[in-house]
Amino acid sequence: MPEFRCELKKYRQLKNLTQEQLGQMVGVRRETIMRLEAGKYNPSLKLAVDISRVVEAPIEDIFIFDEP
Amino acid sequence: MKRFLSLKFLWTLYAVLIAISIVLMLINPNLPMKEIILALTILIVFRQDFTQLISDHPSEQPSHTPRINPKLGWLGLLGLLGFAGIPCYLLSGQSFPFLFFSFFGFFGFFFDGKLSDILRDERFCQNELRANANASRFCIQMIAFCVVISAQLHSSALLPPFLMSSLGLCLGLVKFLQPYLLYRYDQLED
Repeated sequence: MPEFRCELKKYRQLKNLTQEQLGQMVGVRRETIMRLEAGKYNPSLKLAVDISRVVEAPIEDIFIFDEP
Repeated sequence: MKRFLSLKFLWTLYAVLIAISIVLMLINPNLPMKEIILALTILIVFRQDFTQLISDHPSEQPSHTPRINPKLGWLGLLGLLGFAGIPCYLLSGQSFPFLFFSFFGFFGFFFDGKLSDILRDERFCQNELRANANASRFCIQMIAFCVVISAQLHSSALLPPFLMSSLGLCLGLVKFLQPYLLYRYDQLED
């Protein structure tokens, strides 16, 4: 099974956004962003697209599935 | 839409019948009261679920969870009323008060209160579905277990109180487990 990694924290900090601000912009709670950044939550396609638009980074650079 | 409208009609009819029954019972006390109490108990415990079922817009989720005071969890102590079934059964042979054990489910308000007025994002909705599914599955297993045990009972006199108390406890358990599991999945699980 591919391992899920999330580089959201890096791109979020590049845009000078807090977890709370990013959460408000994409319509989720801060806890969800926190778990996303920790790689403990697999987002829906819609949320992934919304996040990639907000941080202005390609979706495949933010959410990475490493093949074993 | 038609299905939900007919459900709403049935629900209204049911509520009206309950109200008429109460009035009739007050006029004529000889009418059986236990059926009304049984219906009202189930109605009170599962009020929220019924309301969601008959909603005209079931797909529309509220953006925030309802604001609930966690102190309402103390209503779970009403479940102790179930023990009133023991003297009731011994004195008059009535077993319906055992169903009051279902009020133990109100202890779930402690966890509902902790999750009150928060944004229902996609992760919350996923956890909610997961919690409801697991709570219902556990309840079905418990009911199946109780039915098997009841089949092993040698005395038929014990069957009504056993079935009624186990039904009450199972209903209470599922109502408690839904918010508890949701809180656990949402806040505690890594």
